[in-house]
Amino acid sequence: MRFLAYLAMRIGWLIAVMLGVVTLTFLITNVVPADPARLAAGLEAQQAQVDTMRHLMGLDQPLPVQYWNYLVRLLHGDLGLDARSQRPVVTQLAEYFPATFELVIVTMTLYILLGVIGGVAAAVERGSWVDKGAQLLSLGGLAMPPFWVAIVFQVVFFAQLHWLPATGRLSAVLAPPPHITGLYLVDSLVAGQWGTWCDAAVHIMLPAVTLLVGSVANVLRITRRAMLQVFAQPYVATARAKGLSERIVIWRHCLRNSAIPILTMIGLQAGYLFSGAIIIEIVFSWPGLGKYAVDSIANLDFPPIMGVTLIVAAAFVLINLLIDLAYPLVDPRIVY
Amino acid sequence: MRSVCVRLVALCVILALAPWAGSVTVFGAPKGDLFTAAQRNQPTTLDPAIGSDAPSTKYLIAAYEPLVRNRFGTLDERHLEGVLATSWDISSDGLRYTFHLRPGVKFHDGSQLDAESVKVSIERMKTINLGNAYVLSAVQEVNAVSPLTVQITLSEPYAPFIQALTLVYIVSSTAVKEHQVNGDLAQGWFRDHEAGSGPYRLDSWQLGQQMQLSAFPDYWRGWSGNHAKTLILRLVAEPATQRLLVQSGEVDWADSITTDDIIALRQDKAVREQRSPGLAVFYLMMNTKKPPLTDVRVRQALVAAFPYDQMLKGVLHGLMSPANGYLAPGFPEHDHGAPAQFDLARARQLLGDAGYSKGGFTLTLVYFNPLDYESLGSQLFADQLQNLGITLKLQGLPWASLLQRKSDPDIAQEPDLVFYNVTPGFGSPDSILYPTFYSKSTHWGHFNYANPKVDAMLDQARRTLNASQRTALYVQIQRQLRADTPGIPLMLWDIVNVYSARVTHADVASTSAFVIDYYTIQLGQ
Repeated sequence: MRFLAYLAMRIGWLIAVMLGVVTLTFLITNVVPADPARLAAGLEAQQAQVDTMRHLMGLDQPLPVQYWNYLVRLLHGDLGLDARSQRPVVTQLAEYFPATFELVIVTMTLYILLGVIGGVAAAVERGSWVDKGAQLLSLGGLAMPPFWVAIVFQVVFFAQLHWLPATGRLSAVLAPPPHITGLYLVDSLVAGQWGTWCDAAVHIMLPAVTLLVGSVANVLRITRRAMLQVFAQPYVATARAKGLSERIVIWRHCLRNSAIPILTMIGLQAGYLFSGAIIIEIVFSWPGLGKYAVDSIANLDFPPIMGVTLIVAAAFVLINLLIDLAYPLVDPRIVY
Repeated sequence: MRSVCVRLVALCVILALAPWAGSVTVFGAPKGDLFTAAQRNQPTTLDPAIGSDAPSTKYLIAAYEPLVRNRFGTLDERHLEGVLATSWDISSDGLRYTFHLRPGVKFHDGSQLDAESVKVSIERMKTINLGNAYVLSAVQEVNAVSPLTVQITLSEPYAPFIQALTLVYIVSSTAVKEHQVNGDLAQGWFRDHEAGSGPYRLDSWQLGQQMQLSAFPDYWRGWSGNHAKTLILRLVAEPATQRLLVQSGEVDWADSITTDDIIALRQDKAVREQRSPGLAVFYLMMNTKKPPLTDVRVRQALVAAFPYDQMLKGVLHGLMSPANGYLAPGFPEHDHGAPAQFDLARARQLLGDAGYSKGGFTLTLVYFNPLDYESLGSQLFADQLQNLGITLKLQGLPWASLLQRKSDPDIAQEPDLVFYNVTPGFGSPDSILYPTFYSKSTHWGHFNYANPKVDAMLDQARRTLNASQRTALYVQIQRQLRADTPGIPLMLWDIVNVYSARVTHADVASTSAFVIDYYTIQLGQ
């Protein structure tokens, strides 16, 4: 029961946070000194056309009315219309979100594999070439701007070596797999389209690794530090003295006791990846939320800006809620 | 622990090699009769009644056709060529335009071009009243006189009308009727589908990724020659990536190669540069209602203080030409004048005549901040103005804020100067001069300039049906503008396109820079 009460409280907070995000984004978007209707109507538009567009966008209403209307529509699952294309924002997000989601999932998988294993290796082999190499890589990853890394990767792996494609989710001449989840790696697998799966896999490599380079350092360093702290604990010496194999000592005892800060970092990073993917998506022409968000901001297209902000905020708070709920699994002393 | 490291490395190698297990794709290879274009933006809608921005135009020219268009390289009305119309008559009062349509033209939905389709297309565009609908504001009614004859009646004479029709694409009336829902004129359907008569028909549109079009087998001009049979218009937002793709041959043309990259690519035999005179003019507009720019002598001083050569050679790498008038020389109505010269002594003298011999005032210049050449140009200008005792405050703004700042209701809050790039919408000087210099214009390029004489001449030019009389009026307007100096025509944009070497020929659409007439593409081996 205590768990359910805790869960209810967290979901209440989640709703409050989302309402705050909606209100803040609404206010910020509307105080920007610019006329979205003029932008949407086009540069050649005459005043009558701008007025038509203003009416279509609902901008001829007072601000509180616009806000109230937005909230009411939001509760009905309606995020409004994209002013430039006149398509529902929900439909647009459904088109763009899977690409971003797939990129984040692949990056997170590599992030956990390389970050945690690398961090453990660096801690175990403290002072060795493994440790120094891991630290050098993590420092390098933090120091290099992702935009620059992306272009360097394109030059090396696409233009020079011709190993990997520079842009897109699939080769231009390939049709996407039948839509099931919108994740090409999953959909092509389900459809048994191996060629498409391979093509999708090579296309996701450069953007995922670029995202990884900038983020893996955090978890690697946290894992290393947490493991080193645990190594100093008496129960580790006891475990070794009992004759347990080094593998069991490291992976079952030490890593589990280091898991709380690592999990926290993974949760935070997953949230940041959703927003961090935006720049990477633009460089690699990855058809996710990135370009859609940038274009919408440049045109002050309010409903898509709100939609993208909501989806990123929701991903952030949901992932962190899941991480919080996972704490008792790795540390039985934590009880909700 | 070493074994963990070894496994980790092995895992990375497997992950890196796994995709090649079933694929032998070599990235960057050219692909037969496929033409791939990289575009910085994608259309937001495929509806020809609404799409008017550059990404839309780049798509519409492939799938749709207008009644008439300018022949490549010409803007003269006498060289206007029929596309869906074979000929046309204009009544002596300039109010009735009768078009004789090309027989045997098929739309992509299988229906035939007829007068009803022209009528529906024009009325639909006028009713929706977005995009390029402004060119139809004088249209009173459209009548299908016979299956292949259509008559458009105007409420008042509008001489550029025939040129403006190059922006009006004809859609299949059958498609409009079939897909209309609740009187929406099929807007919902046309957003993602097409029913044009152009050389290419839409096969697929993957939002945020690419559009694929294929040659329409029944296209009326036929397919002899090495035309591209498949078009892929890919979204590649980053110019640096566009350059890599063109260099590698993975795309055949990109629309946003930077001037620096164009220069760098000249060394590369895998690409081919095509350069032709453009029609777009790069102005520095002056706020003629805000002191001290209300004084024409101060404005003329600024003309003499702009470092044209530094801008042209240092910033634009010679990829533009010096402007010698308010219109590009490609217009038959262009009034040829001497390009403005940098002359600080003359600037000082003009300022002295205006009572500002030591300068002593501050001006604000706003520019679109992603454009490097605007930022660098404004810094060069600020350096020169400092020599005259004038402080130039620079403000780089995003597009939305720039538009708002420029049209602030309080004139004191408006900037003094703004860079303005203008490409003619259609082949008449009206499409540049009217929105920019007519006193009541709401176009963003208009910067408070008002001269009743210029207004009267612009109005008169719209009513003047005789081409030579109209040319004389436009020449007078340009001379008046030169005297009034509401802006500085700085440079003329040359159209510079970079293609992969296998593209042996491609025409640029007449008025628009960076829009290729895809049908004219010829591919080599």
